[in-house]
Amino acid sequence: MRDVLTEALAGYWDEARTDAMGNLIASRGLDRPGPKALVAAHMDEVGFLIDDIDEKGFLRFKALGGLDPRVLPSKRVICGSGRVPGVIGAIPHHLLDKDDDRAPAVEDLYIDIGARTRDEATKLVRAGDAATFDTAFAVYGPLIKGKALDDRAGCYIAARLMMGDVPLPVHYAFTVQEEVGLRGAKVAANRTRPDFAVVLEATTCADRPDPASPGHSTYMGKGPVLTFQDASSVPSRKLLDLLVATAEREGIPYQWKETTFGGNDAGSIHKASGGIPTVSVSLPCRYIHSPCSFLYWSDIEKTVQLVTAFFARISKEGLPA
Amino acid sequence: MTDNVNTTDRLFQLIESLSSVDAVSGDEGRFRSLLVERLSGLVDSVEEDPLGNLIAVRRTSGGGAARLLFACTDEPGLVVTHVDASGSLRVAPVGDLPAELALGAGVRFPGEVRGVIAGSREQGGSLDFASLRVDVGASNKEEAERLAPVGTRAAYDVPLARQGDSVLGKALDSKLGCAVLLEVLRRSKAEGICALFAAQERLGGRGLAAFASGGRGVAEAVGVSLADASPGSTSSTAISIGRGPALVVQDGSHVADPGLISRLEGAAGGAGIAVQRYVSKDGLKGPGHLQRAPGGISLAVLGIPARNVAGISQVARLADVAAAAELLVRWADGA
Repeated sequence: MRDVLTEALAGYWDEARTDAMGNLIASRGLDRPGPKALVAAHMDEVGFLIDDIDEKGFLRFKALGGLDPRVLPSKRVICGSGRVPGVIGAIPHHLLDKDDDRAPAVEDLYIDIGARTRDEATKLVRAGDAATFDTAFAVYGPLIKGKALDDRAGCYIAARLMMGDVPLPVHYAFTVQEEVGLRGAKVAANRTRPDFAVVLEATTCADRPDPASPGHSTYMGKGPVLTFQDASSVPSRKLLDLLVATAEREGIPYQWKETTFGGNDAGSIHKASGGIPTVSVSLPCRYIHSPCSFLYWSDIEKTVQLVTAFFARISKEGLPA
Repeated sequence: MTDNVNTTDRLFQLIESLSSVDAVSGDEGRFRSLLVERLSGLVDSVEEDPLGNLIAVRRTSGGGAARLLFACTDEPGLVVTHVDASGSLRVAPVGDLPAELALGAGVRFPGEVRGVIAGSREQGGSLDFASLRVDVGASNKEEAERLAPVGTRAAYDVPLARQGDSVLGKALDSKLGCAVLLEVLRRSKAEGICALFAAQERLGGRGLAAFASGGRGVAEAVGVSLADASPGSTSSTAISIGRGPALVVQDGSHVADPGLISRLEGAAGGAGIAVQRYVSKDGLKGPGHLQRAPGGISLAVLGIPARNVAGISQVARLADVAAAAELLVRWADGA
């Protein structure tokens, strides 16, 4: 991921470093006047850590990040640096008690790479290797489909901002280990010590067929998502008000995240370095943390527009008092 | 005796004034403004940080302030997550007050907008905030959105009351804690003191965590909060209201510096102030973050004994509040 970003962006940044945690921090325009921004998007994705290989050659795993075990059985995965393909196995339906409709637990699942013995398996994969979903990226009309659009889409928007340039000094942090506890962002924030931070994320969207059900969180196609509170932070009210005012002035649609669950890198960033005014701008993303997620291209474009206009406004008017 | 009566009356008026302004975690601005007013003339500088902490400093002639007094400013409440077509509000909790206790309570939004928490438990089911609604008396979505749009926070609507020496009210950890800090600053002439009014405690001690990450050169800190004196409390030491402030030896977030506890106990003994000791698995989250600031901080927390600490309203004694202030004046003055 870092290599892909480096190849795409090296021509645009003034300086970049990979820190000890693995965050890629690229900076542009640090000699410009105006408040120093941190734009953060995380590179990592939810997945699997293979922690044991049994005598029959099946791989046992732990979840890396928030995985819903209900969506795992029969999904294709890619294991280790050797990119060994596998399928997640579970107890088949006919072996369950007739009225046992419980979702499987991660402990009951395993990855099948076609090995017949532990020896055969360990030639391909070792305990400690990670595995990821094996999902091809595709465009479905107005949608994009793929794994880990949380937070590849955020990284994409950060990259677009850097390529398009914004009239402020900006550190772009492509962070590590968000899904396991917002860890990389803490280090990135303490190193860059920005005047304010914008976190670019993909967030829950459960705009399901049943429109009356609560907890939909966001709607696809209704534009960038603003957050008034989640489990990791309460965003800076002044920055949030400025985002709303900017969206309204520019005629860019926006929506509120109507749940307070979940968290993102803002949780670490806003508490770092003595406190940093921080806001999140997110994308409404269906089937987040599953093998296959959906995003509207139009939501991505509108988010780029909103954040670009937001930075332009801060460049002109400074941070809100 | 007259002096004591005056002190108690003055403390009650201060607590009443602090209780009249809501401060739901993350929306503490109006409460901060009130504190800034009250701090006028007591300190050299008052600063607000990005988390909403208020940092009031009385410097030494040489510069900094190595000793810190802290209390939290926030209280539990609700935030509007969705406005239904009928005009009723869906809400999420701010802080960890359980839905069971919220049901039926009155709430207050900014602008003196009032609401009632309505809902019912399904037979045998548990109650959660997703099944509660707030009724602000609106008859449709537009009307409700004018009164309390998505993202607005509401506080529990409980007036403060006095009954003899008892004080009954909401969020007494914040209200009493802030009152003690203001009282200490009013009575002590000590220099080199920083008073931190810490925001967002109920969201995981975030105010203190952010302050700690700023590296402000604090060496010693004493906090003021509540200690649970409820019958059947989860605390492992039984304490009572009216028997003096409790020194928190250990709680869920920190183990106090034993040296500092001894000094505070010594100061209390010297002044004839009764104190209790308290061990709990609960308590504030922030002190642990503060204690583990880069370089570490010597830290202790003083708990005002109170009953019903996990509920909307608590009961405490003014004599304990006054004694906590008295003890901390001595600490501030160098004890």
